[in-house]
Amino acid sequence: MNPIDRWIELETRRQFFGTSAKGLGTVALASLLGRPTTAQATAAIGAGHFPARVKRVIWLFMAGAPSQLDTFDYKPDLVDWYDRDLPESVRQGQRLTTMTASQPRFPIAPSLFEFERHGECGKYISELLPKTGSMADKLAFVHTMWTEAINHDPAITYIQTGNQIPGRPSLGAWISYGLGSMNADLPEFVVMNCEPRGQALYSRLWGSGFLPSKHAGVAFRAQGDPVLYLSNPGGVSGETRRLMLDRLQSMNQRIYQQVGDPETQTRIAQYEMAFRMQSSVPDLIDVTEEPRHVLELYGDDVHTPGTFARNCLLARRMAERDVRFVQIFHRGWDHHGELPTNIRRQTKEVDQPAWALISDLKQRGLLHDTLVVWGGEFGRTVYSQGTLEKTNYGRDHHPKCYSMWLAGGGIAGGVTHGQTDEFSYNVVRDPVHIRDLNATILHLLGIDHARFTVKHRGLDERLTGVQAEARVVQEILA
Amino acid sequence: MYNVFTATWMLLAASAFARADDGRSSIAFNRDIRPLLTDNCFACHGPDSAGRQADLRLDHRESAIESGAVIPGSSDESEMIARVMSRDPDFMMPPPDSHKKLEPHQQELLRDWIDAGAQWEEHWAFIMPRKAPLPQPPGIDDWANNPIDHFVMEKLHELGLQPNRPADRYTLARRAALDLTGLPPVPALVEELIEGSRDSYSRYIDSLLALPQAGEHRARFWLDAARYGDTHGMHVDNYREIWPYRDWVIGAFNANMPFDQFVVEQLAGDLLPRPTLDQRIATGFSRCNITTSEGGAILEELNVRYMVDRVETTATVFLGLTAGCAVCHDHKYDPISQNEFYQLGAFFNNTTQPAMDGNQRDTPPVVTLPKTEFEDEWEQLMEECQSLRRELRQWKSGAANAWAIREREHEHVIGSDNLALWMPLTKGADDSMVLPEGAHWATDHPAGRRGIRYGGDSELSIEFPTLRSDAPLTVSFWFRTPDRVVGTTLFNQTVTTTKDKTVDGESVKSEETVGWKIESGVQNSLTFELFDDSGEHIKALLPDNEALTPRSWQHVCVRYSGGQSQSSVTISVNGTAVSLRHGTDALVNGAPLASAPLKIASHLPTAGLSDIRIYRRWINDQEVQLLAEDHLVRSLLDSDDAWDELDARQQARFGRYYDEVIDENYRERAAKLSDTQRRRDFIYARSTTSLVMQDRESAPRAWVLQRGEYDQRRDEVGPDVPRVLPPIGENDPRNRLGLARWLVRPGHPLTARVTVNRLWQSVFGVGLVRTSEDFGVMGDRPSHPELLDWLAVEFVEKGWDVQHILKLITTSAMYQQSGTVTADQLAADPDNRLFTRGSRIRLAAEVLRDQALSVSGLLRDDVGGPSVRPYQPAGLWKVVAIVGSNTNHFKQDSGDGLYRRSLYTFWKRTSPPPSMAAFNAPTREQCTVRRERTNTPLQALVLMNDPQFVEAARHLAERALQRHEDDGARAAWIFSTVLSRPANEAGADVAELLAAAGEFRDIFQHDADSARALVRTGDSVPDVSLDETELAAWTMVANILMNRDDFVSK
Repeated sequence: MNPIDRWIELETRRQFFGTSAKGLGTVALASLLGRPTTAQATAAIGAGHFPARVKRVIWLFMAGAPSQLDTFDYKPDLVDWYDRDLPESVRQGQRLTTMTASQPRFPIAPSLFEFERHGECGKYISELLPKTGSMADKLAFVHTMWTEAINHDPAITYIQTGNQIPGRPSLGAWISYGLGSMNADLPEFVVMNCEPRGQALYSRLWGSGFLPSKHAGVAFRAQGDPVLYLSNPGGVSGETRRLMLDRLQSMNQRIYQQVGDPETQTRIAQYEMAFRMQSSVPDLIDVTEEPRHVLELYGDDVHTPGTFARNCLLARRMAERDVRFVQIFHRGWDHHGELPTNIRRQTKEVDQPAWALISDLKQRGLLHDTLVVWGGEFGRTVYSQGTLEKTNYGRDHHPKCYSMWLAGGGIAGGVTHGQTDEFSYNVVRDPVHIRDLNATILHLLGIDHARFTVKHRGLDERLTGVQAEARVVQEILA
Repeated sequence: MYNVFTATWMLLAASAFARADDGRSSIAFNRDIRPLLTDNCFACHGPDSAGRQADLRLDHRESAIESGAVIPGSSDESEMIARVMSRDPDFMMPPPDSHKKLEPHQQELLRDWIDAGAQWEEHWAFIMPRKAPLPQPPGIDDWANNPIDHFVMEKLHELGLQPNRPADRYTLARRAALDLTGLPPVPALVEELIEGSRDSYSRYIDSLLALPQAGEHRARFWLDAARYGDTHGMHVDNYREIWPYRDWVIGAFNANMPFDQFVVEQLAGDLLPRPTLDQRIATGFSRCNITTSEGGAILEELNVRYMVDRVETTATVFLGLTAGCAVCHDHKYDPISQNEFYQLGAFFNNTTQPAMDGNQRDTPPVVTLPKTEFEDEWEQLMEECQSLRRELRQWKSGAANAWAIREREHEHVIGSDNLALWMPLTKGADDSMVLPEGAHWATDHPAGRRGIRYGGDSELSIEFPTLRSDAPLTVSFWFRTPDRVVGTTLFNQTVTTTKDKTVDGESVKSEETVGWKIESGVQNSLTFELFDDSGEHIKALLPDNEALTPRSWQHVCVRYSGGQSQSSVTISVNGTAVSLRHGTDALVNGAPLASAPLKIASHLPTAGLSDIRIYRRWINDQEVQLLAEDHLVRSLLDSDDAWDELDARQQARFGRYYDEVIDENYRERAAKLSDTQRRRDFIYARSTTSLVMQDRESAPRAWVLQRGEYDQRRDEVGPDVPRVLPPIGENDPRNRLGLARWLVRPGHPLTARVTVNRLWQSVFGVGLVRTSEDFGVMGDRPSHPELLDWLAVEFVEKGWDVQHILKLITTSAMYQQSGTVTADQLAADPDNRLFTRGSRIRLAAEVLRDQALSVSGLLRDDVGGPSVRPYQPAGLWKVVAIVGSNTNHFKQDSGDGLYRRSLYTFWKRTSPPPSMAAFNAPTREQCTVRRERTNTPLQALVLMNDPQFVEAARHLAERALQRHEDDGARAAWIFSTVLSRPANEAGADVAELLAAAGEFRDIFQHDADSARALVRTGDSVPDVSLDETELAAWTMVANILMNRDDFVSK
């Protein structure tokens, strides 16, 4: 029996013997997903292994893999390499996807975009991301993220669950399992997907794997009910539902008196919680009360549900309500061809809202204990996939290095960590594996990734892999 | 009544006796010692050879003794004890950095065990089960119905506990029906049971087991284990057709197929002598794993993943072992070495299945189930093809003799039959040709100065016959992909007309195209499209990420057999057929296509074309290859070498040329074979297919992979089974058939145990071994080991009879107990692992939905067929799917498809049915033999608000209103229909329902719109003769009942 279940069982029994059935109901009532509110008492590792730097995480996931060469990893000398072949000494026979493996040559495509220095740190950032640039001093950049996977499905499954093969819990599920909930009315792990575009997503990316399914991310939706089946059917008002519930609960109490199964009491509590969610969730997503100047911060898109801007605003509202882990998937970064056109659209959609989110959190005093992460599943090649033109090129998948940024609690602003070679092809200094990133996120939450294990099928499973090494990237921590 | 004091005293007494008696002999290795060694020692001193420290292993007696760690009879001299007792951080065991620790009483236990002689035992699950004599605890004769009760009572007696009184017959009837059929009972059967004699319960169970719904219910559990789904599961996650396998499983359970046969047919039906179609369909078990076709994926990596999944699934489902750990290294705890893992892998590593699933429904190998009207023709075609293929394969080629006179053969044109158009576009041949503006002769063709490079738009328009969508077409050409990043149009024979259409009562103009065209995209993709005259259209796509090579010449051949389907199109590049993506299963009618000129190269800036040949027939693969190598054939014909001096490739090339172009007899036979293509494609595209297993002819083998990495091959291994288990039968083949027979051979300790444990779990929610997926040393020990063994032996003795075991369980006195529970019982047996009461657990996802449909009268009872798409909130698929996936857009069924049993619900694995996922249904991405059972508010939302459940409530209300005028009678009828028991003893509940009906009536009387909205929920139309207010009120009453705790539980 795992510690949570044991605690619940003991607690249930104590209540059972110590108080009336009503007392037991109160305990169960306090739970959202089958769990009492006092997070530390129910969570697998309670308050964590050491003091946490942040209480919550907002991960802005750029699905499809943004080009590091056109955003953060500035390589001015590549201009001289236009349409020249990538030297074999750089590629070192490294495996390529079968998409470009048969290309007769690998012509280098320098970024079409200007880079400018920003902030006191003097960080060079692409003209595509002016707002991001304006907050460079708040961000820590990692240029040397890397992974083994070279295709989207395995790669995104890998960074999200620590394994390329489906079946493991996602990062958010691990955190929910480890630290429990900070609020009684909302899930601790929420996922928001933006407009469908480009590469696929999979429900396993926020799944609970072998952890109890209550730790799975709850996918908030822009269309229809924000949480599945939240709304009453047509013609059923809150009042009608309340009447129905009162009768139901009274009947279930009677069943409990007759049968004595504590599960019945839990069920009674869960129905009450469902009823509460019917108002707490709509309240969460209702942005009509947001002042104009806040909406303006996020840009025009914020008026359209399902956009990255709206989701960033919702992420802030969730942070205010102590949702522990929020992940926004922004899709459409898989630019094998026509990269300049596509990346202009993509960056335009994310640049201002990401900046707005950081600013808004900061203004509300939430940034110091919130971690914000921006990035995708791998990087892209310096050489063009398909045909290279002066103003047009594509980039294939590149797992050996790519860029991300982090901001918020515990993060050292203005730091750039890791160095890639002149082609942004290999890591020259300070590689950061995706496992290291996950270890770092856990670390900021007060969790030692190496000690955060769950027995499953005879193995001490952990987010960072059963056997693999992972290290906390101390260099980007404040 | 259970007495806490007595029980505690007895426990203490039992252990005190054990100590006083001998203090030593009572130590059982498997119970007392093995867990200590497993938890604290095996990680470094266990089966894993790579992780082993100091060359010491404690899982083997000899090794432990030889090393001096253990000296039987003398704990003081045993190093293990010295280390365990030590506090020296450099010496002590377990070492401090392992974070493991042995408590003093555990240390003592080890000491006592060594002093008593240090006996080792094999892990319990690896020892053959035997039937122990039936225990005879006091009072057993008054209680027991069958041997199960003896073992259960024995344990209760040991602990001073008493069983519950029997459940009332209505509760029992409902419980048994839900457990055996997954549905509430048919009222007629319940009546028989209630009114019947003493043995009527046994007959009731027989009746339930005989229902076709029983096989469906059983199949539901199996499909979790088999990881059955209706999509490929990765990346594009397109539709996959394998539902005939699901139906095979249902049929097998309904026929009560002996479980050993069930195992053999699923793992190796194809390898049985003269396998039947059903036996081949059964092998779909090993095809249910998730697959991908993601562009750029590395094939060997995928093949390894598929193999690993098959081994893990087989080991989990049949052996109850977690083999997965041994992918990377020897198992840390269980005696499965890394070598042995890959030996198991070899059984599955011999498939003809391609690594990339092609995003098609029918990734080969498949079996074809033609529509009834085509069955005979299909069989004839198959025979004809087989005999023609055999003939051609055995053809004695005249190529060697003809080589001497090859110069005469120069004039032959490759594939001259039915050649409708040939434009060489080669300088020399077309010297007279006036090039379009901006165009020039190409200089970079591999065959020399061939082809035209185009400038801007320079369309060539020629008269061309009107083609038909049911006639074959081959288009062969050399294509130079453009220098610029542009899309191009190569061929186009279409007519577009504007028609007036009426949409939603409004007249709109719509464009309709008929004809065919070939285009290339900006990233050098290639498409062939054909539009029939009814608005249907097929499209074959060579996608961006598998596209043509940029800025290069290549030979492309597009073939359409005339089979009126997407799958009738093949695209070959440089002579080799490539796999096409994003295929739909669209079909077109058989009719004339466009009467229009054929436009060639209408938009080809900076691209090139050469050697265009269009045939009104389906040319064969060899001919395609010859067209791609035409220039090489020509230069070969100019060779001065003697036949013997040619290399094998050259000989083959000339052989192809001779057979296909010169030898008329061969050509006649080959043409005959090609002529069958159209009908084969036509019938195939209109057939059901099912994924199956098929082996290559070579012997199975695999490679041990360093750290499990696909490109780190170590030793080659052949197929074999782990040494800790009995060997594979001497007379059995070393392939999947041998493996399957081994699993069910007499003397196998695991398969029967694991299976009866899962049957037990299917009834009680938890098995006798809680970890039903892990019978290894890290798994839980059985709660009732002797009962488990008795059942396992009984199962095999009775011919692997699944229904026999289910009947034993459900007719036992233990099963028939009341589910009520007191505080004392809860304290003594919180999880009911001792069976102090009847099982009362929350119903599974499928059962909840099926039950609601059943009591409402909406449930369809037809068995089998394609999966259906009942209600699900809009947009769920779209929000995750890749554009172009054929499961991107969820199209809800209407009518019957909404009301089928849940095991027929379409299972998209990257977005499983949401109402079932809320109730712990797995994603089916991997084998699952045990579901969780949680209790969450999201579940309450489903049961209250899902249109499926709301509509069911309304339908139930309709029936009540149609049957009864009186409110009391209505309430009683709904109550008894929902809960399968009469309402006469539920006065308070009925009164509550009546009060509720009154309250709801008040609301809806003042709000007709709401009443109307509520009763319109769902697709079915409410009975118009009923008053909407009344129906709405009673719908809410039914909604209450269908959320009751005792409806949601069994």
